[in-house]
Amino acid sequence: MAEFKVGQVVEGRPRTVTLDRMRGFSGWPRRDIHTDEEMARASGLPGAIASGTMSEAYLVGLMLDVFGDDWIRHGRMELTFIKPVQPGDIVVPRGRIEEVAPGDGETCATVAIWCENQRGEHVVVGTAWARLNGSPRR
Amino acid sequence: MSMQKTIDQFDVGDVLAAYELQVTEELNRRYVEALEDPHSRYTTAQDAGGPWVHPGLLLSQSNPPKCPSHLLPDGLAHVQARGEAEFLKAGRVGGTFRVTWKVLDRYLKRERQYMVFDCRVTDGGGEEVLRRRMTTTFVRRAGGS
Repeated sequence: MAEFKVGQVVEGRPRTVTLDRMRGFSGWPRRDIHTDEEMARASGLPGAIASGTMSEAYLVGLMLDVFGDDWIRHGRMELTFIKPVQPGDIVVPRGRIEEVAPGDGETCATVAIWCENQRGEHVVVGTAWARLNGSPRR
Repeated sequence: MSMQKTIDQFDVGDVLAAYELQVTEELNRRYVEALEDPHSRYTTAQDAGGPWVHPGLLLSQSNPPKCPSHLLPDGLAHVQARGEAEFLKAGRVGGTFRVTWKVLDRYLKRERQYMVFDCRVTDGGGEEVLRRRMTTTFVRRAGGS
């Protein structure tokens, strides 16, 4: 397992969000604000917005890349969705390790996580936790 | 004539209709492509269990609007506000998953209605794969009542 330090910044690959990808994710031909421009505008939105779960999934991928496949057996995250993502946006998942703390025979990392668009605006923010010795919880 | 309840009419403690999902290679690939995440763990057997289901697929399929009981009232659209997720194991492509939802809370804040759902994804062996707590709200569509 790699060594992690408080303050360390981690970053995933940029993703280009397109209406096709939003539709693939949200189950087109199901029509909703994530797949249908007209329906989104009728809801007072500027156009179709990506499901917030897409950004959540980018952050899950980042956690797996940083902490390894074992994260899928114990990883946790909390997120607040703060800004819509639209077709054409480029979204980058990022994190900063806030704490590495031993306890109860294991070491846990607390990571501030967020996704940022091409304007540097945060679209989702939150916290993730990883157990660095990787043993499953049960 | 009976009218089906809309999602905003469910109360705290109500258990919503469950949903069963079989994850085929094709469905998994759709999420891998949508998320631009062609990692080999999602396409190639990692061990005896086979390729992983993309976690984004399980997150998406356990969103409250996927619930068969999630009928929106006329004129409203659903928006995510907050989410918590706890991953317990990798789902495997070819497997069947059961998704369940329960209403944990509902409240008004700044004249907007919020609902909090407990969502669980269980694999074909009855083991939990994912636990989530999703807070959702609604936006009003033009012309909606």
